[in-house]
Amino acid sequence: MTIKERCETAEAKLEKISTALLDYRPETLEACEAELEEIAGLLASETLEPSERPVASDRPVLLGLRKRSALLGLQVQQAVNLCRGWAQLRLSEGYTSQGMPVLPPSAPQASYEV
Amino acid sequence: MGTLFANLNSSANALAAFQRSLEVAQNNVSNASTAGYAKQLPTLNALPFDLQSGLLGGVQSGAPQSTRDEFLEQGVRYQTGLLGNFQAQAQALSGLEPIFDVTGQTGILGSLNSLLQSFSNWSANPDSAAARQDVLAKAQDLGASFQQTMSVLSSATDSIDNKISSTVSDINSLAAQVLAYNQRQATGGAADAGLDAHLHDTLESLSSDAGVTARFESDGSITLLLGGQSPLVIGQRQYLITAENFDTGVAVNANARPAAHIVDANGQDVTANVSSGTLAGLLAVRNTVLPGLQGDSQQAGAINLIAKKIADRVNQLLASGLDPGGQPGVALFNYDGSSAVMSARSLTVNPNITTNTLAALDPGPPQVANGIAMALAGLGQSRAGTDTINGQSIQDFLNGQTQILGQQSASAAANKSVAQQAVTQAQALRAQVSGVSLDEEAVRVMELQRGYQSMSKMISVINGLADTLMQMV
Repeated sequence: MTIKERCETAEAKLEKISTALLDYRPETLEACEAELEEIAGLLASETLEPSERPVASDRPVLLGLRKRSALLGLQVQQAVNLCRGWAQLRLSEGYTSQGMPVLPPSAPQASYEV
Repeated sequence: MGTLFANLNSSANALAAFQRSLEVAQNNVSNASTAGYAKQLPTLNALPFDLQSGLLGGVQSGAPQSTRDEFLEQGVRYQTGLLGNFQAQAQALSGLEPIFDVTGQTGILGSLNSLLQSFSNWSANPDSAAARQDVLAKAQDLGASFQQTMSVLSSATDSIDNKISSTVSDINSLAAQVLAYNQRQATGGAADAGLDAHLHDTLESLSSDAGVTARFESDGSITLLLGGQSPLVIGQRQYLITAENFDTGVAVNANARPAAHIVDANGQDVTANVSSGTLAGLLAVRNTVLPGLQGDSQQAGAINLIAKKIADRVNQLLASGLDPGGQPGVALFNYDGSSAVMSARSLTVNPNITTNTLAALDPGPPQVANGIAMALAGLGQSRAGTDTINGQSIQDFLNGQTQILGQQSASAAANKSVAQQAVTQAQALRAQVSGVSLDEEAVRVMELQRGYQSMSKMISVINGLADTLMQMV
């Protein structure tokens, strides 16, 4: 697989992740994380054969990949901030010195045993 | 440029969908304590995907889905109706219990015991002026006890009538809220979790007041029926109910309190359709328990039966005797005999009787100097046909009434306790499905946050790998 093919595959996967992340369920996030690991495997330079090493003509596709990855990073950071802010505003009793929300202690739940 | 705009549009939809899901969670948390609120779940709809047409797919937030389960709601409403019924009965009956003192120290039983004791003392010393005076005093006390008991029963009846009226008014007011909901539905109002919560809270309050059936119609409106039959609300029309007191049959007893009835908008008597809720409990005490004691247009009532039996038998025995002057005895008691329900409330000591006209002597034969006084002393326990009420001696009958009322009160209190547990359990079952768990909402958001943070680190790694490859060029 050439570096160009690897980059195009990785970019397509990043786009797919970007869309899939819109489904907010934790299991979706886990699936996306697995995809990201696959992308990391594709791009790891140790796995490249000498013939697969990038050349000057690969620069545009590498730039495209880098841009796509940065956009996904922003999207994910935005989601992290939204969650943290929401939790602080709606659920917490305050926040720690690291800015993390402090959740109130759980109330005991009533149980009905048959 | 087309692709860029399409991409931007897709991203905007995505962000909106994500924010919408957080808003739903936020709404759940904000309404965690709102009566009648059912947890909402966010939904995501897939957008069309066709690259040639410039449709990039993605997702869009859909209308939040309610977790409300109408079967569980009905279960809660049913149990709430039973609880309302037993609660009202227990409360009303506990107010009547003090009338009958089981120790026999106060009330009618206490006064009767005192009178019988005074007869006994008189029989031991028939010529004693003090003993005779005591008989008159104790007879006065017994009359006062009967009048006081009837007064308490009358006040209890007034109080229950007021409660019935206010409950009916409450039902009409709550039904008006359902009507307002129907009117909103008719104008095409959008689904609203807050409105839905208010509606179900209203239905639960209605169930507590009276057994109502709520039918969800295809046009979104609610049909509200009393006892599953009498309409309260249909579409955009409300049918008011009223509380009225009247007798249905020909009255046997004049001056009796008429029974309480619930009448619908067409003037029809729909009392029989009130099968649960506070209203059913109040009607049961008002139309069954109280008439059994104070009487109504068809029956004399236990208290009147006792008062009449005591007065009649005491007067008959005294009339059959002779006073110290050798004259026939004078009646001890007076009462209004024009109606069977007037005996107890009108029972008084004959103003013409004196200590000298109390007849202790039984002319016989054989003549017994204290014969009448002795017969009077044993009147309470006598099982002679003329001295009994429904085959029981006067004291046994009175004790029986005390037991019946006590059992009814204890039974209502026990049923109330069981119904309270059933309501709690039904509400817990509903809460498991529709209730908002703050912990659950918190866990959901924190899981999301952790997942995104983990991904953020992985993306940093990928960025680093891409940078390494670029440096190799």
